[in-house]
Formats: sequence, C-alpha cells, structure tokens
Amino acid sequence: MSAGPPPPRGLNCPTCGAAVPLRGLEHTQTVVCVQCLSVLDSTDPNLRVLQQFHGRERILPLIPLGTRGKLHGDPYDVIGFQERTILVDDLPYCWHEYVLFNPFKGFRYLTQYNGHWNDVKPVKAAPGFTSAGGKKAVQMLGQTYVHFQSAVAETTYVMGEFPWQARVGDQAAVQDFIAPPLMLSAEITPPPPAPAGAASETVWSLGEYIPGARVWEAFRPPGAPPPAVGTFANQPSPYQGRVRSMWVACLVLLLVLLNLGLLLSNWMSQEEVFSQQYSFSPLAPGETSFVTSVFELKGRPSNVEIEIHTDLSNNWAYFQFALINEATGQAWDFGREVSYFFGRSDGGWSEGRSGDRSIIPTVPAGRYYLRVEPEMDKGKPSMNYRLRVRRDVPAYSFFLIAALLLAVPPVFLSLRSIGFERARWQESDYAPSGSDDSDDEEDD
Amino acid sequence: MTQHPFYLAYGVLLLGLLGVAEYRGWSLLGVNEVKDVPRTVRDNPGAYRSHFRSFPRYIGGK
Repeated sequence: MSAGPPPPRGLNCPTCGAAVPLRGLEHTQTVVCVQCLSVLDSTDPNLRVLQQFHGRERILPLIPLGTRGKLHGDPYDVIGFQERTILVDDLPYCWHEYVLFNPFKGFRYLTQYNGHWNDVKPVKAAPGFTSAGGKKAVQMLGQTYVHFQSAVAETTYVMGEFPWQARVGDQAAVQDFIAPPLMLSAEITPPPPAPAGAASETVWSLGEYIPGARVWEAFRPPGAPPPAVGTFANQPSPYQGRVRSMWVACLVLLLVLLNLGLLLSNWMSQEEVFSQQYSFSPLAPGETSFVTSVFELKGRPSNVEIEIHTDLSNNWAYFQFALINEATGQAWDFGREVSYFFGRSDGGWSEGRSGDRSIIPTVPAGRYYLRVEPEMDKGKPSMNYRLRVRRDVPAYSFFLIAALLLAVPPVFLSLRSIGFERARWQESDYAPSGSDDSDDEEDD
Repeated sequence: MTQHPFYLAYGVLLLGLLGVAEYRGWSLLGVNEVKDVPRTVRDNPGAYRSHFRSFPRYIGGK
C-alpha cells in the first residue's frame, strides 16, 4: 500500500453543505455529493446542480470512495462509483463500475458483476470489424475479439467524481467482444437510433478479467471479495491449454501402450502345446465328454489360451471345459458358447462367430489334459471343430481396457471444458433459445 | 506432460499394472478352480461333473 492520498481540493455541496472532495482535479466534470446524492457540475464555479435523485436505496461500494491502491505498479484513487443496468428478457442485470484516477496515468475503471472483476482502460484506437466462427468480431493489435452481447445500459446510481457529465438515467448502447481474459467494449452514446441532428459517439475500452483477491490485494477494502458466481463473459477458462496438453500426454501414453503390446507379443512364448481336430454329432448315442492327450505347460505360472474353430452355420454349440493337472488333480472349469447365425432378410445380417478364444489365468507349469464336453441342438447337423491350446499369450483385452482408462481423464477434462464454455455463452446473445440463466454453475 | 503429473502417474501405474497382468497371466475369464479331481476322469470322462455355472444358453437367430 502506498502513502495516503493527498488532501483533496475541498468544495461544499450547494444543496446540503456537505464537503465534496475533488480528487480528479480539473479532469472531473461531474461530482455527486455522497450525502445528498446531488449531481453537481464541477466545471461550474458555483457547483451547479445538474440532477438530484432520491427515493432509492443507497448502494455501499465494496471499495469506499477515496481508497488509494496500487494497480500495475501505479497508485490509483477510487474517485467515483456507478451502477449500470441492462434489461435482458425484461430482467434487470446490474453491475458496478469504480472510477480510478492517477494524475499522471489518467483514468481506469474496475467493474464488478457477481464477484467477477475487470480492470478496464480506455482505448484510443478503433478496432476493425471482422467475423469469427459465424459471429461478429473485431480485431485490434492482432487479437480477434468475438461478439458476446449487445444491450442498452442505463446508469442507475452514481456517487463521487466522473470525467464526464454523468447522470442517473444516462443510456448507452454497449457491445461486448471477448477474447478471454480480455474484453473489448464499445459504448455508443446516445444509443441508436440517435435523435435527429445528434452525433453519436463511440468509446472503446479494454477490460482484463482479474480475480477479486487481486483487487483486494491492490486496494485492501474492508471485508473479503464476494465469491464469483457463475461464469463471466471473459473469465479465463481454468481448462484453457490443459485439455490439449492432456490429450498430448494421453497420445504419448497410448504410444507407450502400443510399444508395450509389441514388446510383450515378442517376449511372450505363445507356444502351441496342443492342437487336434474333432467332430461332434448331437445324435450320436453314449457319453459326449472326452479327454485330450496330455500336454506339457512350461515356464513361470502364466495363462493358457484355448481356441475353438468350428464349421457352425446357423447353429450353436456349447463346450464345457476342464483343464486338469495330471499330477495334482487341480482343475480349471469353464464353459464357452459358440454360435454363428446369418440370413438375408433386411439386406443380410449375421450374428456371432464360428470360433472362440478364451484365456485361463495363471496356470502353473506341469502336465495337463483337457476334459471337453460339447453340446448342440439335437435337431441340427454335426459339427467339425479344432481345439488349439497355447501357453503364455498376450491378453489383448487388458490393452483395450488400459487404452480406455487412459482416455478417461482427458475425456472428463474435455467435457468440463465444454461445460465451462457452454456456461459462458449461455449468458450471451448466442445462448440457445429458452435456456435458463446458468448462474448455478459455480466458479472453479 | 509435466503439466499433468497426476495423470502421468496414473498412466504409468496403469501401464505397470498391465505389465504385471500380462506377466502373471491374468485373465478376465470366469473360471472355477477345483481341487483333487479324481484320476479316474482320464478313463471315465463322463463321471466328472462340471462345477462351472454357465450363463443362459443362446439359441440364436434373428
């Protein structure tokens, strides 16, 4: 905090006699008595009363008038305060503007709406009009600002000093263009259609979104900054840049996953330990189950893959398997169904497959055989099938699951980012018709 | 990558878990492990009764 402000030039209100400080020096054109809210012409030696407004509730600015703070390294005094209101669907939306003054740097403004703050400075150059993404846009210093909202703003409360002839009831057409965290605003006075013979004036200003905590740090007003509610037009997205970088990280991890898959495919033995052709007739009498010859599984405890290839056609078969250790009697019991149906109705269709692949987990080394019990619809023809057993094969389903799990965080972040932008544009002229106010979306 | 240390850690953990799953030969297949299957199964396969409870059989077709 810098040293206290110098004592302001003193005047007295011609209406109530209260002291009216003038901190804006000769730049002040209008001063509003904080006691009786008389709007006075400070350029007039007799402080001519321009307007008196009564009968409405007084607004206490969050930053008291006269507060000195340091913004961008320069001291500024808060010399004026106004409330402005726009009507959207007949609902009033009010925001507050603070006039800041530094005798060497001039004026700048702080605006506050629902806890969202903007640091605003006037812009001398007029930006060029263009379009972006089907929306009206303006360009200035290489930056494109997309149109967000147009409205007629009315001044509904004034207090302190202003470098223009400020009055309650003043109207201006405002157009906001955004490139978060920046907002370029045009104020056209009088709002179109201008009265005959009246020249309209357009004033551009550039705002930058700043957190309330930074305002409190700069001016140290009493209390705490009000919490930001909803998503503001030029509020920078907390997801900006993070979504892209997370997708890049995801891509890198997927490439590592792919390489890991290739590495494991080469490293795992995938040894074929058994292969045999069989046939099965559902009408054959007697016991349908049988056992295979013994095969040896070597190496560390690993998986065992059992492949079935059948010649099923519009038919199904069910296989009850037991992989049995010849020495210990330990068995792994499971069943697999193979079904393959197809037809020509509706342009041709097919369901299922005539083969199957299943992986038995973590089988220790040893000598094993399979007990196989096939089953089919008794009214169907016989089937030929081949059983193939392989040791230590890659389980590709885990790779698919890993790939999906790797994509979950970036997908989640992308959805959050889309939700944030949707909440932003919900408040604009481009909100979907019939949409509600999205102030319930909490600031992240 | 460095902007997302938690995601990176999550990814490395996933890849590590995948490596362990592949090394240990894990599988998603539902199997019943049965102890002490009698040796007579080799001679009389029909005497063995499966402990596996399968899902309802598909009887197919459109």
